[in-house]
Amino acid sequence: MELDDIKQLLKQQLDEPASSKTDAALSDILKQSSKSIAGKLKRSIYFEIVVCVCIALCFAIVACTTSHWSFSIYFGFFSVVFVGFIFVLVYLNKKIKAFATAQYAIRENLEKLYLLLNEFTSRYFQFSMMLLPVCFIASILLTYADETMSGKGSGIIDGILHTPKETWIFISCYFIALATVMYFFAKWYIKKLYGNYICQLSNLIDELRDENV
Amino acid sequence: MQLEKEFLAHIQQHQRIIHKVCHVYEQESVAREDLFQEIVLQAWHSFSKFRGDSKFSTWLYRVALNTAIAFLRKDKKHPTVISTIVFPESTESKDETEEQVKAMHKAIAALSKIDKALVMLYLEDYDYKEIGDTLGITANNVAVKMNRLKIKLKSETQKYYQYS
Repeated sequence: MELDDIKQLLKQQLDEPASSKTDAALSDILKQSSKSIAGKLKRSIYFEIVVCVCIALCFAIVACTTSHWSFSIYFGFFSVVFVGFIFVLVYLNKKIKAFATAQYAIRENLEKLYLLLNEFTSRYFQFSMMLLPVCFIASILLTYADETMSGKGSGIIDGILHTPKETWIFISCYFIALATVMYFFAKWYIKKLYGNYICQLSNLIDELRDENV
Repeated sequence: MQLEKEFLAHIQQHQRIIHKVCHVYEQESVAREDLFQEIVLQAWHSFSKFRGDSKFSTWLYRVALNTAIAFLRKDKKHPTVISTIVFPESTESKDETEEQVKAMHKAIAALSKIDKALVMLYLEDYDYKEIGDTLGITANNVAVKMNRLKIKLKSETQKYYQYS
């Protein structure tokens, strides 16, 4: 039997009235929060903005109040980094809001969601990776700066130049191991959160490709 | 408040569309209810941008299908693209047509999310151009897909019918 043979019958069955919602029930729905992927991303971004604001504020306070200039530089620098990240998050949030309130054709909608998720995950990954060398270099400089401050060292550059080779080998190995673990952890975590969904979106977009051949 | 009243009046009038989409995309009542809520919410969030260029029913169809296709099920670790849930069996009937309709229902339930959207719009008597506009593909592409889909549904229905 073909679809056209029973089209009217199928249509009738689908048209059979389901239990209708009352105005009150519909009104209640409007007060609930969305379970969509865009809603999930928005909540995640709001949370990250709040965390970033708190961290940036705390770091700025430490930077302004500490009597050690090396601490001021370290915390001041990271305070600026987190403020910068807030701008990135606000930008992403704007994009998600624009997406969530617009209604595109199905293919366009899937493509936009795919790009949005890809951008979100890549920014997330870039930020995680970017912090690694920044933290590392800053902490090394801080160590030498502290020595300088206490009068034991002979300046940051001299200190770095006179550090034994074994120490550098240890520091390098430690950094490579940490970076490798962080790289794979961040990849795994992002894939766990959105990876499967991104793959499904990609499959759906592929399904909508031209089939004129 | 006025906007909310206007929206609720529209939804009250057209909620049949949402029920239909939920019925085709979700077979379990809890999942269906979740999807219904999500579609209403999505429609509400985008309602301020609805300018009335198209009919409300067409716009709601687009919202409903977009939501159903991109919907991430909460209870599943890896949400599936293809639904394999079988339509519930009703009372046994010897009526051949009814059995074939049941088999067709099963075949539709096993389709991919995109194919389900195609079938839904086709059953609503949308022409290929309108289906293409909703899906974001050309009318030509819709025609090719519909032909393949009809062949697929025919063979799948036959299988389900033989097993029943």
